[in-house]
Amino acid sequence: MKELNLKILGSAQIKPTILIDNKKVKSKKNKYGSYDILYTTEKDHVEVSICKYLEINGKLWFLMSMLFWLISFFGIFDVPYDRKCIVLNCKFNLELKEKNNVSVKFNTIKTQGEAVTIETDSKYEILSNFYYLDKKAKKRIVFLRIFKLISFVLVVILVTVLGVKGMFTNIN
Amino acid sequence: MEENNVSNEKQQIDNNNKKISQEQNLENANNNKNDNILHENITPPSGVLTKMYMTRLGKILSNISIFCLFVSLASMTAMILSLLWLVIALILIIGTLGAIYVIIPNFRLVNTAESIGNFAEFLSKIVPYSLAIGIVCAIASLVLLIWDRNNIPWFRVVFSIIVIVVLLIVAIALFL
Repeated sequence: MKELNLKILGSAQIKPTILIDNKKVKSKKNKYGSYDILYTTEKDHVEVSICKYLEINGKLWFLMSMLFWLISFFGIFDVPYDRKCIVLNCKFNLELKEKNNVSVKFNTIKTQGEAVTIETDSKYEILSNFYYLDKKAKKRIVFLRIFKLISFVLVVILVTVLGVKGMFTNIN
Repeated sequence: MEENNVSNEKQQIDNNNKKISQEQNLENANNNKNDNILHENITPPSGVLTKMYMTRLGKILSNISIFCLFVSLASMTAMILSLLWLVIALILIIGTLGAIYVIIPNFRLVNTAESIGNFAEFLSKIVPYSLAIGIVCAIASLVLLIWDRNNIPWFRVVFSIIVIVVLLIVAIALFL
């Protein structure tokens, strides 16, 4: 069995999702905010993916955001979405020895340059390594804000009209 | 000779242009590759998305429980305030031997006390509901926020625990 000790450093702001061979792996967060992953396999190569996903990129994003808007009393108690919309995409193939120590350090979030720095004795091949400003997600967030604002105003008008009608019927 | 030089220069320019276009093609290919890789990974997997939604719901319920805490504390405060106002007003009237009505012509003991009292009465009617909703929402938010063990928002978890404790104390104080 081959052992992979993967350490993810500097991830406090980013909160990444870590996949090995497209399967999410269990990771422990230590007191310094770094992730420690111990992975065992019989394979000679593994593909490590470190990604940051945005909630707004989910399949039923509009329906879910409307559902949460309703649950939060028309957005009063709702939590705002991540405005920066910076996505992380890091994928690399790793050739495994008996014991492998890999340390992945996050660089400052910039849309140019490498997203992470990899330190290891094992052979690896980088498939992707960048931060990316997701313009589609940004547009969705702006659209949601406008839609929710208009909906909130309509709800307030509706409640006011119903209240006034109720008062008139009580008076009569 | 000059013609040869000119033709050589032209060839060099053509070669340079070819190199530039090849480099541009490579860059475009890389960008497309990155875009393809990005678009492959842009949609969160269902497990990750579920945890994100649960965290969001937990934060919304935590916000609702904080609002219910404020309503419950305001109810207690309003009752205390109305009593306090009565005490302060009586002290002012007795202390100034009634001169307060000359100093402040609009001074009204009863009206002000009555309005504070009405507000306190309104709040006391909704307090049982706000307490119940607050406690349920705080407990639910605690469960949902702890679900994603890698990304627990500890500040909210601690705050939810404080909200539960305070609401229980308020419930005991109001109903016992």
